[in-house]
Amino acid sequence: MFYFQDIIKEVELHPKYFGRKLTRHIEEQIQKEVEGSCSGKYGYIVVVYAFNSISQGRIREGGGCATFTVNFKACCMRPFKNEVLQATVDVVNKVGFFCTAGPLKIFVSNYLIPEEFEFQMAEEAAFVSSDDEVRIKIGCQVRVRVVGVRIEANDCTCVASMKDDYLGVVAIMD
Amino acid sequence: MSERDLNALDAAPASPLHSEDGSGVDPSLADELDALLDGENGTEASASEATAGQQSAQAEPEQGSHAAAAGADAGTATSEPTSRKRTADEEATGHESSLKRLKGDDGAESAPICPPHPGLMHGMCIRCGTLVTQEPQQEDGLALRYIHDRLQLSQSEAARLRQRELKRVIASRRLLLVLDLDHTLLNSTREVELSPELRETLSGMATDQEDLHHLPHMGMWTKLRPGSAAFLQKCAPLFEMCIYTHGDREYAVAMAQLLDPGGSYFGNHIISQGDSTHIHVKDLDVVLGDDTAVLIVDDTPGVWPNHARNLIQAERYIYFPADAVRWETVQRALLERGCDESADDNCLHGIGEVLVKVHARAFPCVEHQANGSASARVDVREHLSAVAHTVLAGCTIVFSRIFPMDLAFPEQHRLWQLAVQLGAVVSKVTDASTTHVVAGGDRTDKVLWAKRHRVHAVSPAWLHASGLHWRKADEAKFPVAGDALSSPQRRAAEGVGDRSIEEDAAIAAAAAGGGGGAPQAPHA
Repeated sequence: MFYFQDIIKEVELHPKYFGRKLTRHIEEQIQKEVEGSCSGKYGYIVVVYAFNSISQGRIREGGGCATFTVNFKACCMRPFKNEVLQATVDVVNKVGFFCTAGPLKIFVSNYLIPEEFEFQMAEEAAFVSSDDEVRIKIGCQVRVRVVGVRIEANDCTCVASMKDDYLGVVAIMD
Repeated sequence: MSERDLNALDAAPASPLHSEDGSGVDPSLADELDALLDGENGTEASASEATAGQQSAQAEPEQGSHAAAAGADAGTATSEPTSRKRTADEEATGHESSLKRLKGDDGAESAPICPPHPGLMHGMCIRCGTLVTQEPQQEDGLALRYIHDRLQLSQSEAARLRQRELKRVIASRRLLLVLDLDHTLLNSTREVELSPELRETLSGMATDQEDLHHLPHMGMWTKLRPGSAAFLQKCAPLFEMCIYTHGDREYAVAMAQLLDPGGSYFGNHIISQGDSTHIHVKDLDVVLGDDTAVLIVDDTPGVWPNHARNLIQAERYIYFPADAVRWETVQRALLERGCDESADDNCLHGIGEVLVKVHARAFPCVEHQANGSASARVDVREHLSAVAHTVLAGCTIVFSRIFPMDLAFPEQHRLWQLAVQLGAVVSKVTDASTTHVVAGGDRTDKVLWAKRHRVHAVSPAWLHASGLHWRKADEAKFPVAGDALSSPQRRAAEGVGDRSIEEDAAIAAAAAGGGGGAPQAPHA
């Protein structure tokens, strides 16, 4: 889910930026460093929303760079267990399918796809329902429930399930 | 910013999105988020313990049971009061109960058979989502890196998938076909291995030859085998095809692009070096197809030690000189000779026909069996050997100067076995039924006998050629080699080198990907 989060981060700035636009440089530096990154605690940091405070800089001896402690509010995106997400299918294979919800990669194994779906390879790889009405194939939108989350230094992966009420294919994108 | 937000910032900052509208938010929600952010990973171990208990309590591991039903089962099986409370009180929100709920849901999902976990994705079970990093990784896991580089399946799960795959194959009437790239469907060479003159020749040829490709970003020239496009087109309706090469991934994908510009044949079924479970060996374990429904086309039998019966050997396609050197072929490479195989008459054409025949044999038989017995099995290996048996059917072969007269078990000689596989009858003495004398020298009694009785006397290369082309080779093209031949000429006459199967496999691995794999030669 998306949520706002106050984050405190230290940023180091080169002396050439010390001047009238210092604050803007610090803010730009923070945006460059965190937007689009992934942290173990907050998940993906999507965008920096506002800056709460910027501390006094401390010059580091030797280098001349200064460190600032910045407190900012960021919009983050982190999957939680039991959360329902809408995602786009991008790979289908025998073991299951992979889909993405924004930056997040989600895997749904064949155990967690309802039994009436069967894997087919006829024209393209797809899971097809027994009445041949619904196809899980590349490009379609699915609604899945997260059952497991793993967040690593720069990446975030989920295992999700489609085996529940109100989950399944919601739309087909062409 | 409200005071509550500041307080939250103090403790551990977490303010849900809708707190922005100023209506205020249930503080327990913030607590829960915080708990989830901080403590989610800590719950895994206890969750998996709980599932272990539930698993033993559940007598019948039924795969299709719904989460709700399983949850109820778990609730009654374990006499833990919190577990009952969870099912009754779904809306509980506090820290403690949210953890319990997570744990409970884990258990419900996984109750049928988890653990053992059927497979891991980034260390998470693909069925219950539990992180399994704390436990020792399953040793018998099968890494399917070509699907996803962090996906691993247990052996039992792989077996289950193969069974499902077999059912699907029977239903869709499409067998699986595993294709090798180098020397089977194409030949690649690195630019640095070409002499400047050859490079110029190639640049000149590339404009008017469709199947010759220059890949400057990889420093590579690739020549598709004549007839490869027709071969793939012919196989596509009958087989699900996948590429299995010892070249690296980038190379394999580039080659698949050349062979299959529309992307309709292979999809993402490309297995490259590093995806195999053993070095220098190809194995069907990563293919996820049942052995009885997979056919393989490869030029090097040595790389398929466990699946010789699934293999259709292709004649090695050597277009570039560097590969002729690597394989120490007697004939020079096709490029140097300025010619090429004929698309209508090369071994791909023959193999294409064999594949069609095997498919035709496999499928009527499935329908027949499906009506009769539940255990319908389509074993392509048997069909393949049956097709092979027709190649030299009706021939009676006598060997002369191929192995010593007093060899204890001549039946075990490679040529003898090959002849039997091709459906010929092998006899030790010449008689009226003899149709061919396969001889290693032209002055033997049996060869002279053959000449007197107007029976074909041929070199062993005739047998190999028949085997590679899947039809009786023209006897006139394979005269018996004279005794005076030098050893390389003799080797040419015999059709194969004297390398062992292992050496063959090592060269194949080194030659894969246009020789890119060379630094990893077997001694490394």
